[in-house]
Order: sequence, then C-alpha cells, then structure tokens
Amino acid sequence: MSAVIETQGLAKRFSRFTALRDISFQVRSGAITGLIGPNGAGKTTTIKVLLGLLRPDSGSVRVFGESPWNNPGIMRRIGIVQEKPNFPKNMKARDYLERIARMRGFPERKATDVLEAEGLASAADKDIGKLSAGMTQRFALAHALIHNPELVVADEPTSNLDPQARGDVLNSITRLNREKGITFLISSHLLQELSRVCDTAAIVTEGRVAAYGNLQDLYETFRSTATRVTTNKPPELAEKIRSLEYVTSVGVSGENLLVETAPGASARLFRDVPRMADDIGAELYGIESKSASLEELFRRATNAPTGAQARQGAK
Amino acid sequence: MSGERTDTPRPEGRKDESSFLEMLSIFLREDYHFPILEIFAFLFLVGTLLTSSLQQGYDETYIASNYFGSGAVSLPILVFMILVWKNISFGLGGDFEKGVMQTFLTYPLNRLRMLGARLLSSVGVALAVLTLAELVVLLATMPAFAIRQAPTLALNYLAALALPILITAVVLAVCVFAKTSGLPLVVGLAFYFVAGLFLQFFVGYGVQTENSVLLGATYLLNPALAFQGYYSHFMCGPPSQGFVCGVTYGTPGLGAAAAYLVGSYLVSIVLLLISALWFARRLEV
Repeated sequence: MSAVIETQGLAKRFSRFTALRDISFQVRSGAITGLIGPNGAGKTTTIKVLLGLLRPDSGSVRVFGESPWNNPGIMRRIGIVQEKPNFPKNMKARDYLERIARMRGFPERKATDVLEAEGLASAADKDIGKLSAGMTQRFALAHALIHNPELVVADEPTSNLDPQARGDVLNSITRLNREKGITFLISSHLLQELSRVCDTAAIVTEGRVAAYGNLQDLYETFRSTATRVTTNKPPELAEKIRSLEYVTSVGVSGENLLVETAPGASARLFRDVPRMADDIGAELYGIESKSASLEELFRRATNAPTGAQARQGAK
Repeated sequence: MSGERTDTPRPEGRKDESSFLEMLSIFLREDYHFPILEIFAFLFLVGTLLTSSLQQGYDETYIASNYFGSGAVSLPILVFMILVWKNISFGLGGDFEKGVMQTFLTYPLNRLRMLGARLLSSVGVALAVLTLAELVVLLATMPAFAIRQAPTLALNYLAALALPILITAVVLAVCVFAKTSGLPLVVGLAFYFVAGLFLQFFVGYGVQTENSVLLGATYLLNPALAFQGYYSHFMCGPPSQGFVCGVTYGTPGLGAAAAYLVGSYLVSIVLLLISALWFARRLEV
C-alpha cells in the first residue's frame, strides 16, 4: 500500500510554546490510522499542518505526495472533520452543503444524500448555528463525505457525541473504509474507541511520536512487559528470575510472581522461566502475559525512556 | 451514503470557477444576510442625492469638483465606507475569530482567490452599489451637468474615495494580521477621525510654513485635499467656505493632484498586496 500521508521530523513552535518536536509517521492508503495522545500532545497541530493550515518550522509533510500548503488539488481529495467544527451559522444545513457540493463539482442532490446518511434529514432546513453539538458533529462528517474523498482526516470526530452516536460514527468509519476504501486518519484521546477501528496508530506525546506502527505490532511490542508466573516455590523462583538482565522487577504475592521486563523481552522470559523452574525443582503452574489494553500500550509507549526505544515500536 | 447516480463530479476545468463563485455566494450570504444597515444606507444615499441641489454662483467646474466633497454627499459615502469596514472587520475578521476560516481554507480554492471572493463580497458589492447609485441619480437629476462635467466629477469621486479606500486597506491589513474582528473596525474609524481632524490642519500648516514634504504627505493620504486646493482658484469671488482662495504656496496643479491621486491608490494597492501575500503565503489559522 502506498503512503497517502508522510511526515518526517515535523516541528512547530508558537512563540514560547513548542507544540511539535518530532512527528514522523505515515498513513497508508486504505488504512484507518489513529493519532493517539492526551490533550495537548500535538494531535490537532499535526492535523493542521497536514491540512495546510499551519506551516511546520522544520521537517517535511507530504499528502498524496505534495505539500498541502495552499494546494487546492489536494483539498479536492480530502474530507475534513475538525475538532471544533465551524460553519457559517446563519445558513441552512442543506443550503450550505448544496453549495459545497456544487463547489466540489457534484450535483447539489448529494447534500440531501449525505444528510440522510448521517441521520440529519429532519435538521436539513435548520440553521447550522441552531444544531446541537452532536448534530453539528454529524453535520461535519456529512460535510467531509460530500465529495467522495479518498482520505478523511478527522480530529476528535466523536467528541460531543453520546455513546450511541459515538458507536454510529465509528461504525460509519469502518463501513466507509471497508466498502469505499476511504483512508482515515483519526485523532482521539479516547483510546478504547480507536482500538475498535484502527489498523495503525501513532502514539503522540509532548509533540513527539513515541511509537508508531501496526496496532497489533504495537500491542506485541509493548504487550508483555508484565507477566504472571504461578509456582509452588515463589521466593526461590523470584530470586532466580531477578538475575535475568532484562527483568526490571519481580513482585511476589502468594503463589504468584508479577514479572516486569524491558519492552519486547517477554518472549525470552517465556523461554527462561521453565528452565529456571527445572533448575530449582519448582513446579510451574502457569505463565501468562497480562493482556494489555490500549491504555496500557499508550502509557508504556509514552513512558519509553529514549527516542530509540520509541522508534523500536515503529519498526 | 449517496447513490451512484450522484457520484460523478464535473470536469476538472470548471471546478476552479465554480469554487470561486460558490465561495462568493457564501460570503455574500454572510455579509448581506440581514442587509438592514445596507438598505438604510442606500436609502440615505439616494435620498440625499435626490434632494441635494447644486451650489449657485460659482464656476461650474468648481461646483463639480466640490460635489462629492460637500457635506451632504460625502456623509452617505462615509456611511457606505463604514459598512465596508464593518463587512471586512466582522466578515473576514469574524471568520478568523469563529474558526470558520479553518473550514474555508480546506476548500479546493487557492488562498488568493478565497480572499478575492471575500473582498469582492465585502468591498466590491458595496462600492458598486455606491457608485451605481451616484451615477444613476446624477444622470437622472442633472444629466446635462453630469455629462458636461463628467471628467471633473469622475476625478473628484475617485479623490473622495481615496482616503476611505486607504483606510479600507488598513482595516484589511489589521484584520489579516491580527485575525480578529473588532479591532480592525476600531482602527479604521480612529484613522478616519484622526485624518479628518489633522489633514486639513496639515494643509494650512504646510502652506503657512511652506513645508512641501508635509503638504505632499497630506495630499498623498487624502488627494481630495489636493483637488480642493487646485479647484479653489475657480471660486475666488463668492465668500470662501474655508478653502484657501487662489494659488498659494503648495497649491498643486491638476497634474500634481492627479499624481497624488494615483499615488494614494498605489499606497492602498501596496497595502492590499501585502495583506494578500501574507494571507496566501504566511497566514496560519
């Protein structure tokens, strides 16, 4: 799959505040990529750079192989859902979308179609400024999809929505990706939501991509830092395990040991622990990785102490 | 989603033109959604023009030269220009402040064309209405005078608009650089009133002190004063209405007054270009 978006070493500073320090990731054609990070991590700034609303101070950004700054050709191919959708408030929803449809070279009937698809048929003749927050969010999605974009960039697309509506939006994204092959870049701090829909993720914190890659690979990379070992000789086995150089801590609780390892080293633990148990004549009742949620993945990735370690996640 | 029948876009070549026109229609809708102020300004303008009478006892060229500078006619022009400044300030500035510009700049339209559409709506429409109304009423009420004095009237109309246009360029610059809505209008109004207070004084002071630099700068800011100076020698005889009668130090000839007029518009154009280039190349939202 070719890269629809490519960023390399993006940095952006506002006066004394550094918003982006080193943002490097790709969005592959046909994928749903998540831009995950806490508030203030640099997600919205990154998206604004991708949309040509901000210029990076350094680094490069390519969208469909071109610079997005003042590039109408690229904007024809992108649908955008902004974090705080803003439209002329005194225009009717349908009227505005009809103009946008015509502007983008589509028949105005497309406005009614997308409004119906987003469940806004009954609000079509309301002023945009009188739509509720949730309706405005859905209107923004309809607005983003009106020209059959190849890529949709959505900044917190489920904010302001109730849980049911959030589910609907995520289902829409999955369906559009599957049925129409639309590529999505979605930023969110709601990690569980992204884990439902994303294939790939870039984990952003303090203006840096702490980890980037296929979501399953990221899970794999960061998954096994905690492993539960159950044995009949916990103190003795704990003592042996502590001698392994890649083990960072061992806690003992009854028959259970909770072993923390360096990222990516758990496979070695699975190999070494049975051998050590044999050596001391201990019976091994079980050895299992603690399953990592996306929250844990995010926490571990953003706690990565070095850039090299962060980049290891991107491989 | 949409049915297949609606999924075919128009050919590429027509999209730029279409994007510009649709943006223009959106801006027109924003600027003139409730055009109550514009309707009152238009009625005020037409009413003033219809009821105004030409001065008597002066040379006709002087009367033509003073037509747009007279209090009765200049006030509706000022009202229209304030509406233009309001449109830029709360239209373009409002788009920045409310974040709508972020949406607009993601449309498939070159930034310069985007700004062009915005200015055509905010400035072009109001100026066109103003000029057409002036023209139609003049031709309807005093056709012989309007036709005989067409060059003088045209020159002085352009001169009367020079300072407001310069202020419009300043309002636009403040708007684009500050990305806010209230400040540009305040700056524009302050500029107008300060200019009104001081420029006439600067002419008198410049003549008194024979300061050609001060006079030149003043005429450049408001070439209507240069034309007033030039045409004042057509009116010696009846009581002066505050103009320096006859040729005095620094009174420009017609060519010099025209040069100040061109210079003034050039300053406005340079300011406009700076704003436009900033908008196209550097503006971040």
